[in-house]
Amino acid sequence: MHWYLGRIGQYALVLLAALSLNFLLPRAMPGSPLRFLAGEDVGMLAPAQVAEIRARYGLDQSLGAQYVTYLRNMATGQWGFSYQLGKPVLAAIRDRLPWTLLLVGSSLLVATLFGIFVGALAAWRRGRGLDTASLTGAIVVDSLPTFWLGMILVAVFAVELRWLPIYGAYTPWGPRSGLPYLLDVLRHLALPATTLTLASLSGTFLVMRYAMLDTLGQDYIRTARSKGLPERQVLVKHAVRNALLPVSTVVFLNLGFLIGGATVIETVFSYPGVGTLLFQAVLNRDYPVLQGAFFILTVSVILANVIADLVYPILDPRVRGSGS
Amino acid sequence: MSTSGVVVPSTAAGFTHPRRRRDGTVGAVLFGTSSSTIGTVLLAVIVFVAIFGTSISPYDPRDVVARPYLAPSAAHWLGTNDIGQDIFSEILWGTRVSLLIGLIAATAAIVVGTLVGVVASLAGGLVDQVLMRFTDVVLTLPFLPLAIVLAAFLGPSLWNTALVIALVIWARPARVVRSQGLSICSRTYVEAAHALGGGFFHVLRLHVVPGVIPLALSQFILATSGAILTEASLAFLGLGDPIQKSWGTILYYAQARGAFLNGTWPWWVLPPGFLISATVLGFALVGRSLESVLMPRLRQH
Amino acid sequence: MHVLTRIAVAALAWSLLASAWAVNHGLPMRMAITQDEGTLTPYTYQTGYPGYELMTLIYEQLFLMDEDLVPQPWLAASLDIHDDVHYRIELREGVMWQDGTPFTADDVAFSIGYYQTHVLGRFTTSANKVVDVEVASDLEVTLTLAAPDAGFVQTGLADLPMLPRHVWEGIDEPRNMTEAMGTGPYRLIEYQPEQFYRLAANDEYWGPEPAFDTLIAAVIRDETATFQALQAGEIDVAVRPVPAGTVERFEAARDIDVQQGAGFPSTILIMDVTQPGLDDVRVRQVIASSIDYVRLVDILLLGYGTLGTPGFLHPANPFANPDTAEYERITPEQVAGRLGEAGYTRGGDGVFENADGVRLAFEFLAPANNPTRLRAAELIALDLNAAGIRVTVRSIENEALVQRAWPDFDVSQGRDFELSMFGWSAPVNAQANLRGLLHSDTTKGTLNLSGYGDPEVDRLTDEALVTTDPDARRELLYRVQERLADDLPLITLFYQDGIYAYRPAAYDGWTYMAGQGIIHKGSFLRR
Repeated sequence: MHWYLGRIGQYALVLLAALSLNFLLPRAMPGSPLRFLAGEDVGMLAPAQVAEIRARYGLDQSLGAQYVTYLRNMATGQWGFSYQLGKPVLAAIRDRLPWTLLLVGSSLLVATLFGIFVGALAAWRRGRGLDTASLTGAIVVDSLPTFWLGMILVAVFAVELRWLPIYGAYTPWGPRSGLPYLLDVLRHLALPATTLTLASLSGTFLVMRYAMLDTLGQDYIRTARSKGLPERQVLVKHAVRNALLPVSTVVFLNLGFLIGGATVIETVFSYPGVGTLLFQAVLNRDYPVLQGAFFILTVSVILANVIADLVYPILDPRVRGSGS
Repeated sequence: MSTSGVVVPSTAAGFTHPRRRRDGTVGAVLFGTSSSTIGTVLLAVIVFVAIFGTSISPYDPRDVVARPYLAPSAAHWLGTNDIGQDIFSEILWGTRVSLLIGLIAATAAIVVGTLVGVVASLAGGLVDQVLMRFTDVVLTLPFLPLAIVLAAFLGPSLWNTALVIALVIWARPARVVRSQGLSICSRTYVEAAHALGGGFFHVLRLHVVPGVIPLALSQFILATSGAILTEASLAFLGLGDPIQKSWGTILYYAQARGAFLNGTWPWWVLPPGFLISATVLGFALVGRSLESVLMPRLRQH
Repeated sequence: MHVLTRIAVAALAWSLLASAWAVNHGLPMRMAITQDEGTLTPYTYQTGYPGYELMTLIYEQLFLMDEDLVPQPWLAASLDIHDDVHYRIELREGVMWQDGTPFTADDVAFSIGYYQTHVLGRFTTSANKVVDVEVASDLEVTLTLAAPDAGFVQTGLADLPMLPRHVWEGIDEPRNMTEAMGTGPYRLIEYQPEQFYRLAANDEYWGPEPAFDTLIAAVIRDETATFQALQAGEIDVAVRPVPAGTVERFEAARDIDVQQGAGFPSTILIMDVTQPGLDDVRVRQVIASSIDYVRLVDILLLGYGTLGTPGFLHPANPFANPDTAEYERITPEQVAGRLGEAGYTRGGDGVFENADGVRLAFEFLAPANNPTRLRAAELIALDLNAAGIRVTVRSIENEALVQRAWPDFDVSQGRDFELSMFGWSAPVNAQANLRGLLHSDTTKGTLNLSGYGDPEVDRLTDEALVTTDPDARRELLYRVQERLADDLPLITLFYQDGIYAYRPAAYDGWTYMAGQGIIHKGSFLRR
């Protein structure tokens, strides 16, 4: 119980610090959101009109006053109105979050399953062809720049071969329900998800392989083997199950990072996720959206940490025993 | 692969080392296995190009030497870019900038990370708490906006790009070094040294620093490859310094000025990407080799 | 069994083909736009181009600029101007709002008043010129201006979108307006922020028949993705101009057509004329004369561009002075002579300096996210460094650059740069807004980023503003351009040609509007 309290306190601290930075960093940026508030022809406004706009959006208050307002608003769910999108920040994020979750979730799922499977197999066949090949593959894939790989995939599969669409999450004029819509979404998902999967593949694989090797060296595996249990059963029932422990932690930690990290991939594929929303908000100095998106990202990282903390004791009886 | 912000835990799950051909530590790290040999050769080539690239390049990559968008030819091995500069020469010159940014950023990050980690593990208590909470905050911060703010605030330049990268990557080495430091401190002989009245600096110098240095070194190598990837990503998003010719900025211009539209990407986009990969791969292979040689505990795998 | 399978396969293939054909013919016009444009109302659209064009497919103006930049009556049927300030407007009969309510003079009066009380950049500025609105009948209204304004038809009547009074009357915060409804040829059917707009033809439209049953405006932020999508047949037209390096490929493609014409957006070099060194007109002239403009257009734009004119206005602009069409070019030897007269000699490092220790070494800002301007800066730096003027290109993020060159978009707050790449959008040129560019009074010269001041230019531009006689006005603007070409507070580098690509199989009724391109209302109507 005490352990949980400590963790909660720690996350609260991280949250507050991140919130404060969220507030300060956008305001430290050079450049002004005025153009995005008053339209492109802001230069034609008289200074009095500019002042009126600043006042309407609270930009004329002191930083301290703006900070207090900001904290209160974040706490009460009033995340403000986007300067640029003509809608509340929460609505903008709600529109985008499902796409990011779809992209990140599917990539993480494939990467995790694949990583666990190949990692277990590689450890089992340690030192042989498959092990060496997958290790080499993991390290080589790890060395590729993500955005570069994404660009090449677009050039080859979308532009030259025309197998898959180039941008977006679905065809705007296409079907909007049923199986055709699902297929359309999957076709749009294929390239960005492949890129992101490759990006997160090696982490799970390496941890799984390492954990498997560790487990396979343990006494109880030897005992099981000496009892004459079939190799497959030893492997699946004992070794894999125990090796999954450290992997689960890595998976949830990866999740948090992936949500933010998908930004580059979403940019390459013009995928309408939180990442592109955030990047555009940064370019446009759309403070409310920027803060909202920042906040969501911070929360998701913390959430992933919390889940990892919660899942670990469930999976590992030893921790559960000492924790309660 | 580096999705910005995604830091895949660099675990010690390296290659297996069935036969070590050399006994000397340096030799073992660089040429102990076939994979480390590949890494060493890759790095040697890249470093050679970084040092001598500007002298062996056929043109000054800042000069307009031909028509724009030329395909590869005997005069221009990788063709020309959007304003008629020689792409091959650009890449040779860019090697130095990319490598330099990576090394500077990694050095800064490791120095800060090691300091924080060592101090936290040795001092313990409140200092440890404060430093680690701060480290957690940095780890939690969304990477990209932090980078753009810093880049926009500082203004793009080679040093600032390196600084921005260092600021976002120092936290992980700090955590790793701290746990190593903690495990050293808890060992009996250190406790004994404390008990015998050995001062803070005495313990630091005699036990902690020698125990941490190898780890910091391997973290440094991994950080360098991470920094090189990050520089390329930043440059691609238009957040690097486009005036400096690095591999990342070559890719930025290629993407922004139509390499994927007019079919010039095979010789304009592929080579810088391959070079980035080769460099990262070289660092990764050597880094893993170093890890497994210096940390015997891991050798069993 | 085998035969049956074959028949089934054939039937399936045939039905697929047939449905593909059918779908192809029912396909909407698919247009790629550059960014989100809000809810497509006058207060929520984002960009002057293409946002304004898209928004005015729904909300219409009293006048419409035609392809040759001549305002034509649109919602207005006729216009009489008395005493230079009284604009009596007869409205077109039978115009309906899209909800079936008739459009009347009351709506006109309401719109002007609304723009005056609800601040929005250019609309408020135009509306504020009106001091009195008199509604004579449902179809007749008279606007009275505070002072004569030669450009009012273009910048006012042809610019202000009319608002339906019965909808907007209760709207206090127009930026939160989500419902787009006007008199225009298209209705907004669906809007997915940052993704696409779906517009449908307004069957009750009073004017020419809309060209498309359905128009999809899809947001594709990335230039490369946009033209990749055009190549792959995922879209039919792009509002972006085709990048120079791609034109050849598109011209060769059988299923893509390309239209080329004058482009009014300008790329310029601005100088802070209050800085030591740059405050000397002779130094500025040497800078302007040392730049290889031909190479800029040739290399950077691959020839698809027009050389910048010292008088700023594009040669295709009716007000452009043919005598200020070209920059003088000088050799490096002449540079030494010219700068010698100004008191500068070459220092040890080849950089010119004078006896007071003023070195001709400048920081040259270029926006990091605009590759064309970055490349232009690189090329210009090569020219100027060769001439002995040390120029260090520094790339800075675009918003940061604007903040230094134009703090808070208010020139009275000064400036913090020496040389900088910059550019003005098409309207500055189309409206020949030399007063904004050059007037020393910061409330009038709102675009005067160089800190330039000249009493003669002030007088000429003030006079041109109130001169409604076209010939007299042109004469005044000619003189302003001559002053500009002599004083050079800014150097116009080039005008990128507008090159637009589309799939003619989908629609080939696109027409080119001078300085703007193929995306303007005329292209969206059958005529």
